[in-house]
Amino acid sequence: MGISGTIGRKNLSSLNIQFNPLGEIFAETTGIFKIKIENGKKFLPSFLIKAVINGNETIFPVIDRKGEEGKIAEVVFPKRGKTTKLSALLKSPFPFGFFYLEKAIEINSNLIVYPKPIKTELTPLTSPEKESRKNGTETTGSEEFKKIRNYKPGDEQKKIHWKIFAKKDKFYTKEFIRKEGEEPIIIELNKFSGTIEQKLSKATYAITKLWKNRAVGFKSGEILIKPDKTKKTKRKILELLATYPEEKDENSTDI
Amino acid sequence: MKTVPIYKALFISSLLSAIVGSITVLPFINPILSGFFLITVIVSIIEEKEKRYIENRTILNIVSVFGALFFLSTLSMSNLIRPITETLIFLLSVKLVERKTERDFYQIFTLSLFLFTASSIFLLNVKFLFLFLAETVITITGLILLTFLSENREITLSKTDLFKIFQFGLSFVTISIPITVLFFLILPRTQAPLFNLMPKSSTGITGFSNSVNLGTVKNIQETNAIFMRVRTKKLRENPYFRSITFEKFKNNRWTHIKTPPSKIKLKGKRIYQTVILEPYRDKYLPLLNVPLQISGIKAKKENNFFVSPKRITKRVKYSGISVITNNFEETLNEKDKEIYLSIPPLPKIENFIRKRFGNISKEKLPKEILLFLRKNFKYSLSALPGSLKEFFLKNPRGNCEYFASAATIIFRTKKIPARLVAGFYSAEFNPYGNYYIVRGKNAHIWVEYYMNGKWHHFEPTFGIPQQKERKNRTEENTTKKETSFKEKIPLIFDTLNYYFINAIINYDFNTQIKTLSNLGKPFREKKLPSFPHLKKIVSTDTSVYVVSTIFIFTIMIIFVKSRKTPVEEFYEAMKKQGYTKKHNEPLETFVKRIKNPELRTLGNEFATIYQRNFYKDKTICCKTAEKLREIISKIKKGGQGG
Repeated sequence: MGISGTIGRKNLSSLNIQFNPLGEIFAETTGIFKIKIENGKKFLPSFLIKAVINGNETIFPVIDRKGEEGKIAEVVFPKRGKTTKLSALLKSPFPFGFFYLEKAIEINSNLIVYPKPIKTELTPLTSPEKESRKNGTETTGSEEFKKIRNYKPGDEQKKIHWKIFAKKDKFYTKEFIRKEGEEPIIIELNKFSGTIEQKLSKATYAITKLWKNRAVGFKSGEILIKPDKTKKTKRKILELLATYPEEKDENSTDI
Repeated sequence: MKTVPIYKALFISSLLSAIVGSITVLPFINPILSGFFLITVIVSIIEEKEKRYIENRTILNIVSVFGALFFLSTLSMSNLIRPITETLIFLLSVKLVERKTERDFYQIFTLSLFLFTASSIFLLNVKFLFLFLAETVITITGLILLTFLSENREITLSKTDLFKIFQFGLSFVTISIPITVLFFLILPRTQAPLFNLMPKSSTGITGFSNSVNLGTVKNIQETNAIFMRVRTKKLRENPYFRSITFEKFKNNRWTHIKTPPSKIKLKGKRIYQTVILEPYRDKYLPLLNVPLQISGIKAKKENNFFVSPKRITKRVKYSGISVITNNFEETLNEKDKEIYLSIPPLPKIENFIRKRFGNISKEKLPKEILLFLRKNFKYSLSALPGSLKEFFLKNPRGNCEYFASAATIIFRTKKIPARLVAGFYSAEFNPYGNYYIVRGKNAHIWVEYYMNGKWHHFEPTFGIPQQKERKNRTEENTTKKETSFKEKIPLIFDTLNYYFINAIINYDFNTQIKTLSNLGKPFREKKLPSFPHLKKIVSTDTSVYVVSTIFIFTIMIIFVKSRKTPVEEFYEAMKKQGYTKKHNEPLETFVKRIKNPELRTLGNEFATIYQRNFYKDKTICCKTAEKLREIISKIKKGGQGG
């Protein structure tokens, strides 16, 4: 009994855990993570380790000495927000299942849990530049190549056709046309109904839905993020929603 | 990588545990039950392959209950072990064919361990040690796999992972055994077993009782089982071991008659011996012929041999002194002589003897008897005559008791007192352990006749197979000096057996006290034992315990002592970085001397934490110790570790 107790304790020692999301993580929604456990012990493998994070249990049958094992786990986070320290519980009934030994461990993480998406009508959204959309010379967002024309002063540098310039030593400007139904959209938080949390959830839904085929921007109070189709912008907006201050009273709706 | 489902690995280990646990007992129980067990092993394998099981647990439970009742019905205080073993085997067989849940696996392992414990009664030798190791490693591996299964039945393991679990099982046993040995050495124990569990005829070891029918000694001689091991120096002649004497002959049966004690004079070289006698369920304690003294066991002397007050039902160890001689003085009165001269009415034999030996003088008689027997009789263990009369007159073939009986009757007819001596002859000497291996086949009966106030040793039997075998071997040895490898192996194994028995089986309360006493002796005398003293200790049986206990304690002390304190480690790490502590220099002063700013910072940090605990008179442990060692580790890296 004494030996099995000592071995059980040793089994849980020198273990380091890493916890990384595979994709975006939304509150109250199952997120996919990779849990990696490193065994720093010189001589002993670790057996039957259960990593418990946010109620999810992942079993690591054998982790070799000075080795590591990775497992995919489904974890649900109840609240949106940014987490820098995550608590995990390592426990094991090893060797004979007479008792469980546990060890709490802190994981350094930079995890951002986005608000839980709530399905909503996408009509309250506004478009920033209706005029430019009409003349078909939109310069941002999702576009299709239309033609090459002579350079006019004031044309954006990024639209200059540098390959032709290299050949002919003359500036030409590339002209684009926006695809039908893929106009850039600015999502305004106040256009959604409900509490702040509901608004954030609906905005999250809208962003994830609309970003698939158009440039998405965001507006809340004085904050404005221009529409863009890059992942960076999408992440920026979602992070903003994730870290949006919690509702204090009924009137404080803006940043 | 190919993986094995946890259930499959567990099933295999449980099956192995069941087989190893029961393999020793199978030959000793009802053969039908042994066969049934083997069939259930095969059925369980087929079931697992086909994934089809006997599902009805109620029926299986009813069968188990009735089966257990049936086998336990023969249970009694004198017959405990066999019914219990049979019940266990039956229950295990039923368990094997069931659909197995975690609980069933636990039951299989438990039953297997119970059976294995029972098997220690059937197999008490070094083979048991090997099987013990196998069974414990298998069971521990199995129990670990069971823990895995309890957590998740879906777990699959690679062969490498399974091997690691097996390795762990092996390491666990390796760690546990020294601790078990320590407990074995120090825990209190009783001097007698709680129950006498030895089955009556399970071991097949038999010896002489207080009577012997003509033709029955061959039953002992036909067994190759070891009867006893006698540790002594190798004797020039094949030694005789004396068990009992037979005085009365009636209806072809020799019986021992206790005679009043008389004065015996034994002259000759004294031989010291230690005997390990197997349980043979009688009470005679053999010693080299002629026994003089016995010690280490309760015994009383009776007609030149020793008798235990109780039957030998467990393996016993005793020491003795014997005098190797062919004759010894004893004063017999007329009443005693009458006993040694008594003959039942055997008119035809007496007539035959008178005709054949009528004119022979008493002095020449022994030689004449030998001539007569050699000329007319043949040694045999088969088709033995039904009576002495038949041996003399019709069927002149027989084994030692026929020859000895014939010689004794001739002596007695010629009015020379004589008796039969039963014991062993021509045992094999094991040079690796310096002891004689006495087997059932060495059982022998010879004669002693009384003349001129002395008993004389007389060997009437010739052509004994062991004699021939021994003679041939001696001849071979003169031409080919080295024993062949094939002959060496059993001797080496038996030596291991001998030491195992000597060390484990006979380790009783007395030995414990002796061991502790031996351990304390040098300290009490305040001086180390001198070399002859040491030699004596080493030569005793307790030495192995003394050495192993000292070894374990030394390892423990070295382990504890070799652990450096954090401050020692700190100074050592700093020394490696070029900063050596001066004699009696305080920690803070030492740290101030450090020029390297990073190392100084670490030094200060260390000193603060250390002194905070030191001055508070706190034991440095756990997190503080961890922190200090972390700082030391950084110092070792030259201050760049963090």
